[in-house]
Amino acid sequence: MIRAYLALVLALLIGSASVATAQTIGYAEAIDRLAASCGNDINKYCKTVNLGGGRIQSCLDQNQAKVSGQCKATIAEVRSLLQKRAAARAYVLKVCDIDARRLCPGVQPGDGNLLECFFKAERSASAPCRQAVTDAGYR
Amino acid sequence: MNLRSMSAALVLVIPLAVSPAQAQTSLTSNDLVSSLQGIEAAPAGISAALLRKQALDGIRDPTRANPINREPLSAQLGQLAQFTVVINFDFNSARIRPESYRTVGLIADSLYHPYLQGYRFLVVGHTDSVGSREANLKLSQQRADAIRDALIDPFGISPARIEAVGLGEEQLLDRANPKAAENRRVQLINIGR
Repeated sequence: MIRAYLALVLALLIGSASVATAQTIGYAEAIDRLAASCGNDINKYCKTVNLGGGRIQSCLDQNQAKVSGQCKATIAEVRSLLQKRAAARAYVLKVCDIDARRLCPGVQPGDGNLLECFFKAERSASAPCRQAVTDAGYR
Repeated sequence: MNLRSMSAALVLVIPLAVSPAQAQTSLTSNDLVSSLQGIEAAPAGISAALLRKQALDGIRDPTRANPINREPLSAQLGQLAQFTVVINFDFNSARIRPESYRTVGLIADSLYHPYLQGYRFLVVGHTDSVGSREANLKLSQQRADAIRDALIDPFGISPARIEAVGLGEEQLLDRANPKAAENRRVQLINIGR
């Protein structure tokens, strides 16, 4: 908890100079943490339940009185990180809009090609934009 | 509009059967994005429904009774941008094993990348030749469906972007060794805009 707080403070202090540290995680990492923390509980209470249709989450919810504290904590943590990732994805188009128009003139917004052009030219973009790109998981 | 070269369809084969020891060395989704980048025009007629029909016809074709004689069902399929992974299921079941959750998440992450936003994808499940051909066809379809279901929920991919088809043992990776593990694989294929 303390470590996470310090990491956040450091990231804010370093600010525009650093775009290396993402403050979000992707689905592979998220589900990996869940599988690690909740593996035993899944084997005990959800042994025949499949991942699709949100059934594993439902099963763990239904059994929450019995599921381990560590698993529950990881579920909450992962949910929060994924929400940040989704928000970053929505945000990146806004914060990078001016950069995108400058770096990809003539390409129409709303077209997949604009995103593609922009992400190829992204190194010349502003620092907040580059951080948003990192947080959106596009790096 | 950018027209892409059709000649460089990268086929990246990654044995991602993840054990805890291997997890730390696994690829990131962005590593996979380049092998999935597609072309502007949709290739003619590739769809889950068409491939399903071709697989059923293939099972009824007596010249294909012996695995060694089973030519690929679709020559086009091999030319499209794609990658191959291993996803582990419970025995004789379409339940994805927790050790393979990460691989499905990796697929989802790559589909979120801006380069792949405009494209649709096919999840193709394959089995080895152990057991009956019909049972393998059915099981591989159920497994491909299970992967597609997970990509939609919990991973949030739009259902319109993914189709799923099981090809059983009709498109073996190693026809000379049809029971070999390499035949049990899942392909993710870019089928265009």
